[in-house]
Amino acid sequence: MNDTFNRNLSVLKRHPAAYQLVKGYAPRFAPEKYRVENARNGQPTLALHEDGARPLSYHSRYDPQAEAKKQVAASYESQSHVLLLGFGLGYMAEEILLQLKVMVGGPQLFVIEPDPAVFVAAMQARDLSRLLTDQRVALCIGMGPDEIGDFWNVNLDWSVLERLAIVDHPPAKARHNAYFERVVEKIRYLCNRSKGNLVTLMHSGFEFHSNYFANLAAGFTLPGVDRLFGKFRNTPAIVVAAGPSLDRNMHHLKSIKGKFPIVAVDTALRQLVANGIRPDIVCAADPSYENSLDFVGVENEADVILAIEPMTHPDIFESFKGPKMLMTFGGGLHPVFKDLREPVGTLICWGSIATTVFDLVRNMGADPLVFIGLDLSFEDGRLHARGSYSDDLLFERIHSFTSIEHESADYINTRGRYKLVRSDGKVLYTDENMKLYRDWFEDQFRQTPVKIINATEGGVVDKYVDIMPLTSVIAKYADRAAPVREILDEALQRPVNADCNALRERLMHYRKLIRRNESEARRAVSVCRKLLNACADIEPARLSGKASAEYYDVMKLHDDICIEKDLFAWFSIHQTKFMTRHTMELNNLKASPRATVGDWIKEISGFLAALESFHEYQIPLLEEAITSLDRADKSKQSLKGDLSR
Amino acid sequence: MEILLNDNRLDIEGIGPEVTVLELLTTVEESLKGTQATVIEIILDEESYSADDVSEISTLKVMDYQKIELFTATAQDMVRAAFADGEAGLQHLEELAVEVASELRIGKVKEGMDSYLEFVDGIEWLVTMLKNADLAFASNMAESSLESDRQSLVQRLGEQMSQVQIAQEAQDWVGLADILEYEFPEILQDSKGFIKSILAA
Repeated sequence: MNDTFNRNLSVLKRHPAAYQLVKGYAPRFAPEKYRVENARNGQPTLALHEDGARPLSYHSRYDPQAEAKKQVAASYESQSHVLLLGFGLGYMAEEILLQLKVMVGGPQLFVIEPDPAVFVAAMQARDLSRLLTDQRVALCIGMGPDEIGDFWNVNLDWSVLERLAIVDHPPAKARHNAYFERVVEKIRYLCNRSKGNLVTLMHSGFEFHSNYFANLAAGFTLPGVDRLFGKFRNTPAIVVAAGPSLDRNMHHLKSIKGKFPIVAVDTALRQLVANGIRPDIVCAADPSYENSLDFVGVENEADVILAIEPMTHPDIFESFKGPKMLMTFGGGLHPVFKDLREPVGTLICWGSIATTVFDLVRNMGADPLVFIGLDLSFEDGRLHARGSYSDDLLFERIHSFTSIEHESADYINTRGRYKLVRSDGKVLYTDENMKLYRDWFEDQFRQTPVKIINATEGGVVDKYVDIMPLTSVIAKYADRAAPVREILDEALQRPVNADCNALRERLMHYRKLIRRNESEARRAVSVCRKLLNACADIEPARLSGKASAEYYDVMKLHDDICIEKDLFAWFSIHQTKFMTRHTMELNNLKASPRATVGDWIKEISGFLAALESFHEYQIPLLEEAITSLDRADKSKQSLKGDLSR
Repeated sequence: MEILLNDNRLDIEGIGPEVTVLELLTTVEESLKGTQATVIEIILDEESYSADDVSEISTLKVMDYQKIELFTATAQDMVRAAFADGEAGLQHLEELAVEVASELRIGKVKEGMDSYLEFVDGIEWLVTMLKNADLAFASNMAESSLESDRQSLVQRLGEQMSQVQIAQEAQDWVGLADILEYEFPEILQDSKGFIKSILAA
């Protein structure tokens, strides 16, 4: 390897994954296949000479830099972030860096190069040190599409992603077309998911957080679904979703009750019970009051275990009288108490409770995973199986001039704008959310090592699954039954290891921290007022004496609050909209060389006002949770006393 | 019904309802043998057709038209006409070369290929024109170095077209774009110079 390569390699250490790959790959590099020559203008150019094929030019043999300018100009329009598909010798990446006008203080140019040899050729041919040390560059060299998705999630600051440009290096795109299509599909899916998460958080974050506190005392001592993980190896499990096709085949579930675990979404419980079917487990996680109505009339189902996430509406916690198990999505208060009790069992939630049920049976070790009612499309002019509360909502709209069919049709006509053609040629319509869920499920199915069977007998999910009627599934796997009740009872009855006292003390510690922050924030508000009056128009670097000390004290308080792990997470959830905007404003101020004390202090004042509002909301939640834990502890003590008497 | 050849009335016997325009054309071409002229355009009731458009004119019946006009030209006439239009044609080819190269460089292969076919046709036209230049301009070329210029141009065009074919077969679109963007403009410029010289000589 030449000097240029070694110089590049030393700066490549900034990108550990690429560094390790290149270091390992370089000794195997075949220069006769990846030929670097000088173009007419003296710049290096690359041609690929594969066995038995004619040479393929990666860059112009006349002027590779001018070519890169044209290529970038064709697909880049001042977006904040770029996904570059193919690195070649790096000309396009350099051109994009010149064109990126908005600086956000993190990776903005994600370079995807599937062939490590091309990257090694570039490292040998050109001095890439400037590009490799640029903070805006993130390298995905020789990674698979799923690895790129993970890398993207970890390295991208979603709060500053405004618009994304997908720019091809055409020869690389032509050579690895299927790979790049998969990468783009993965990134699109992650962007949609992240957009969905942010929107959900903005709308419901406040509700999630309040529910966590309200359910804390009741949920903390429940057995976790972790106890079920791995307990159903090689047993088929049925996932019951609430799509309209459920009406078609749910009656077959009676024959397998007690043999295969049947796990349902909350929306399907009422119609299952109405048809004489008790699922073994029903999962609930929706924080809304409306969803709690799915349990009206089925509160006393003692044979059904309710697997519940602490963000669920407290009415469900209170009203459901059957056995309960706790599950977690890993957020909310889980990090606060997870070391104080036995494992809960962390599951995925991707917008729909059906995604959680799927992850639960996957963690239970079941194989195959069998879906019914997973339409994710409108069927026979209906949105859900008959009898779900969501169906009731449409009934409520009916008056003398309309009908349930009319209301359903109205919903479908307004929302069902996606037309999907199934592999058997049937055309179905779906809405944006269900289409996203379908993409999610198919992406997960692809990555799940056990067999997935879609026995919905309708709907639009047909990739990476075996399609089979439910009766055939039951017949085929009849010999793989498990003692379902016995396994579930064992998981429910073992005593739960959870330290309530330690939890109460921890909550009291948070209360103390909030009180302290409250008083410091009040002082800071008055300092901000003073600074705005005295030195709003000057730049922070030009402050001196007391004003400088006060200014930097306020900034330090801001930074200290932002690094308090748990409290800042709660604050961000309560003030999601403000914090999203605040992060962008801070980035703009950092990027602006002429930002004044006034600009900074106005933004910090907004932050302090949001903090005050958070404190007003948070203190009562903490007080109530502490009181509930006290109450639970006292009743436990009194029960112990009664028993001893 | 009236049939005119270069504006002169033609009397043809035996035209019945089943006789096609192609059959009429074949009869007229027979009568032109030995004159070095060939029919290049047919106008049927003011609608123009090329004499090469065999599939279309073979379906048209002579008796369906009131007026049929046939126009002829000699090879010499055609070469002269081509040289007269040469500069504009070459200008168009230069623009096409740049347009195709730009599309190919940004990966728009399908779009590029549409214009590419037109470019290849244009180069064939240029080569034919150059090869037949002596038919119309024999005396001009005998008196100067134009003959060696013509041979050189035909050779350069042939070489580049074979490179183009190799790149196209290998789907080396960057390589193809390079030839179109950096090699052809010079040859096309030289061709313009040659045409000017030959017309001025």
